[in-house]
Amino acid sequence: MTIGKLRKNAWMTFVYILLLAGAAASLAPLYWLVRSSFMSLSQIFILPPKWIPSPFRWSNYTKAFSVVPFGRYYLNTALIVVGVVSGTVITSSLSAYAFARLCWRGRNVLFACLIASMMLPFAVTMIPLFVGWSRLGFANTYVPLILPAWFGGGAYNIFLLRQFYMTIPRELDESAFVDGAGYATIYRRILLPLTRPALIVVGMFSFMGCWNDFLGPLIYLSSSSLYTVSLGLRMFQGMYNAEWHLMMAASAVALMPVIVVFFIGQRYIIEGITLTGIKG
Amino acid sequence: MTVAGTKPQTRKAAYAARENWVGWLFALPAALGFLLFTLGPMVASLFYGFTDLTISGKWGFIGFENYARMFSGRDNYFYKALWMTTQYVLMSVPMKIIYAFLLAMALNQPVRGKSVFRTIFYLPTIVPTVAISMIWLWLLNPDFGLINQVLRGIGLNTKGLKWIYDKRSVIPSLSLMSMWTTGGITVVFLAGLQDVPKHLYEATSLDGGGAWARFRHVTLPMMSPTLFFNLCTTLIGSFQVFSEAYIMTNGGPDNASLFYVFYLYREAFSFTRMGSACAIAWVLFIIIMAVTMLVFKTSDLWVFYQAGEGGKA
Amino acid sequence: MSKRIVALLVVLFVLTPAGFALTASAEETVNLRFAYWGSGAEKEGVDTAITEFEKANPNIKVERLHIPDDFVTKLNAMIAANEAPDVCYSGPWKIQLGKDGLIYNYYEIAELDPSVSADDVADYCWWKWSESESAGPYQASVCPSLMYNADLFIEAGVELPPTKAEDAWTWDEFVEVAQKLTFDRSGRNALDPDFDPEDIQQYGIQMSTGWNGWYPFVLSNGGKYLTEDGAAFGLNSPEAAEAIQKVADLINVYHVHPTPAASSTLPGTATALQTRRVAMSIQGSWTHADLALTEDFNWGVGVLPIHKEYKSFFHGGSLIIFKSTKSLESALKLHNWIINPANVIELHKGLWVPQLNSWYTDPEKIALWAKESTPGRPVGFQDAVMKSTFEHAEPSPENCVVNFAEIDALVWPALDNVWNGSMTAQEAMDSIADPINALVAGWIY
Repeated sequence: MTIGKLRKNAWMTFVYILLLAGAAASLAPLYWLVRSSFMSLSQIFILPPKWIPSPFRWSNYTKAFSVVPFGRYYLNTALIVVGVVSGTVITSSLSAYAFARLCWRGRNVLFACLIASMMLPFAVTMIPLFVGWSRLGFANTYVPLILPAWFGGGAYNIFLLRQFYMTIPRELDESAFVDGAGYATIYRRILLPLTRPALIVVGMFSFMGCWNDFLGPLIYLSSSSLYTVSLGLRMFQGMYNAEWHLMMAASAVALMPVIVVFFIGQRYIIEGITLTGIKG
Repeated sequence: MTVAGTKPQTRKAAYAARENWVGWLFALPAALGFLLFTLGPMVASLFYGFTDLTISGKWGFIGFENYARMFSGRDNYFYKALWMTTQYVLMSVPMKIIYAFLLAMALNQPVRGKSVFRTIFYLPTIVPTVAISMIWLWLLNPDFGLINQVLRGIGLNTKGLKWIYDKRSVIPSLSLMSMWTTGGITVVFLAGLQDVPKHLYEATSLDGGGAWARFRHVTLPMMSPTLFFNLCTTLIGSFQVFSEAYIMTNGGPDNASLFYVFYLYREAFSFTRMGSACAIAWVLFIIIMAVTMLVFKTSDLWVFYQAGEGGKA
Repeated sequence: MSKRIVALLVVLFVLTPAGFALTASAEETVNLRFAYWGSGAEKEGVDTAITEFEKANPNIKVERLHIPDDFVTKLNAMIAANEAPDVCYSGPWKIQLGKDGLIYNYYEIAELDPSVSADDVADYCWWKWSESESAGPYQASVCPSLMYNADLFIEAGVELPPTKAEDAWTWDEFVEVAQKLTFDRSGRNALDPDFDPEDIQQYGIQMSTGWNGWYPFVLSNGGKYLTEDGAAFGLNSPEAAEAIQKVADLINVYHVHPTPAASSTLPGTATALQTRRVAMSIQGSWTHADLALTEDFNWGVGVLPIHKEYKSFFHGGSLIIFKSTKSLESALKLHNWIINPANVIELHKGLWVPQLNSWYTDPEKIALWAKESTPGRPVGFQDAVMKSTFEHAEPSPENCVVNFAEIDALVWPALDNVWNGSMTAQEAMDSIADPINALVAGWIY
């Protein structure tokens, strides 16, 4: 008994050490970022390094904002995010409903195509899309970044929502059907309210994907007045590539909104991943 | 359900027909999206691959010249990029998966603060790639970066440990960095682990099996579908690594981090050879498909699907 | 459903920025779009020059597109969208644009506005994609320059760098000075037997490891980018390789120059000199503008060290004019306005140096841009930078070597191995000679 208990204690100690080490590895880079963002350049280069900045230099942030118009880039990015998130949530839930609940010819073929397209590297479609959008006169606008989200919102999201719809008992829509409700009503009155958490997950994912997107804005946006936060950060790097205290402050600026959104929605996000991960 | 059974045949057919077009209507955005933003561009890209399309929009049909140029080695970067990317995939994918699995196993023990840990592990995955690259550029700095500081702090000699500034260590460095954002996989593993039926563990214990036996005969087989899923998505993602090299190393030193997509990007947007870039992209697609197929083929050998749990499949 | 689509389209058109609408405007007014890069000071200087241009040409309005990073990508996006600017800055990639027929051949249009005399531009200042087709002359020049923090020389008791080409340091003298000016954290200089190369506080020298950093020394040692006849790669010649090796030795043998990794922790050239991280810097002359920003910083310029004889070069981009422009005449006017040093004289007092010969020979013109003891032109400037470069200028490989962009894309990764000491310069250059010889197509100037 006692040996068993001892072994168990040793095991749990090991588990906690592993978890704490993992947590430290996850957090330390972020801490290092924040720490460096409040230091002067000379403080950063002190050896051995200081863990806590003294004095705190808020001016790095003022400087970051004054060099690159991050305020404007926040707004630009927010504009894209609103377009993308609403498009994704609306159209992916519509499509997912069709895939999960309705019987129609070609359903399985189309679904298989969508799933297969997750394997397709973005690089394959990048150039034709780029050429296409440019010829249509939409280069240097937000259209190529937003419009595709209004066409299904990506295979991954459709798949995720479909899985969620499948877990809702069919009896619910069938009884509504008997009561004379049409497809649209069933979708709006029954499935949408019941799948709100899943919709939030999709919204969160597309928010983060969109906020973090680099290559898309990089190739489509050429006027700096249209830049997103990621591009702004990149521009900042170009101008201050060795002034680490400023770069860290600028990175922190780019990071804040996602962190805030994450903490608001983290419960849903993690549930959402759980949902897609295993049940494929 | 008996409702449908009681309807007359004609009404049933009418419903089916109605459902047929309503279904299409609901799926229309996705169907159009697939046509316009996936299939169409795919075909176009395949076609461009056989032309010498440049940025000016002029093109001529050149047959297999783009492919010949790549495979014959006349293009100085193709094999290099392929080899570097393969190294990165071979290194980062196992590192990410094993690390994530370990953390998930630990989290699946009866520990306190489980959700706090889970959140912490997930946190790095939401950091924008550009910011990740900057943070790690700084962490990996040989002189003032946190990592060498910590190593020096525990008495190691970090002389010569130049991380991304040495062509021998740049790929391992970027792989190490990729482990930082492995939280998504951890969470998926954890969910999988929580779904393993408790009675299987109990049965193994009753048969006298220890911790190892429980892991080997219950956890691993029951987790194999999740492992399979994560392996596929991580593989596909790792082949397409781009921003890290673009921002941190510019492909260097000595092209040692010239990742495939970076090479493609350069071909398209610096050398303005759009046609050739499309051919390069198709080669990547074929490679990814081949690797994924290979994983699928071998999955019969090691992926164990639970029978009778149809509702979850 | 259709309502939603209409609403969607409305939203999308609102989101489409006003940039498109701008092209239509009052009659007679010509709208030009001008794309350029460059940070702070350069942007300001160019903006001012353009404002002056608009004043002088009231019927022309110039939309300024300042693109500080990833310029080629952005420009390609604009070209693909038929949204190319009328006039823009350009790098070696312009040659491809010329071959693709996207930009004007300057030789053909020059006569439309003879305000700049082609005779005043040296042969090596032209960007060409064939003997008779040119993407224009340098819009302005820059050249390699040795800059230093004078206080550090005085404190170490070292004589200041010479300013006349005939007094230039030999390479060995240069190395010795750099050693005296390199200190570890305990204050020992690089000549001290106990010097700790792992813990350097102040470096004697830092230079660009790009082609413009080491090429003067290749020239000085009798090497060239291509062989004299232009038939083969030249950097693998013993003279060229030796010169490159000696630069690498500064890093790996003498420890007076930061390693590539250490360079990443050094601030920009001007700040590094000022914050005493570096005592001497060999960098592009545009750095003078940054150095000029700080009052009472005691900096100076000297001539470059030599191997055999003094050699240097000018280099620069050119302003390209796209064939898609609606008003060639106005675009050319803008082009000629900016390339005339008189119109952008403020930029020529630090950032740039003129590309026109007369500005180096006519004392009145010299006084306009090279007057010494001004913020961007320290004492000795006329000897150390202006004369030494002008009188010993060789063609710059950037615009005088055919296929330079693609050749250089092979050269700099190979040199990474030289800077980190894993290969000799000779080995590295030999290793890429074959693929480069496949690209070599002679000199053009």
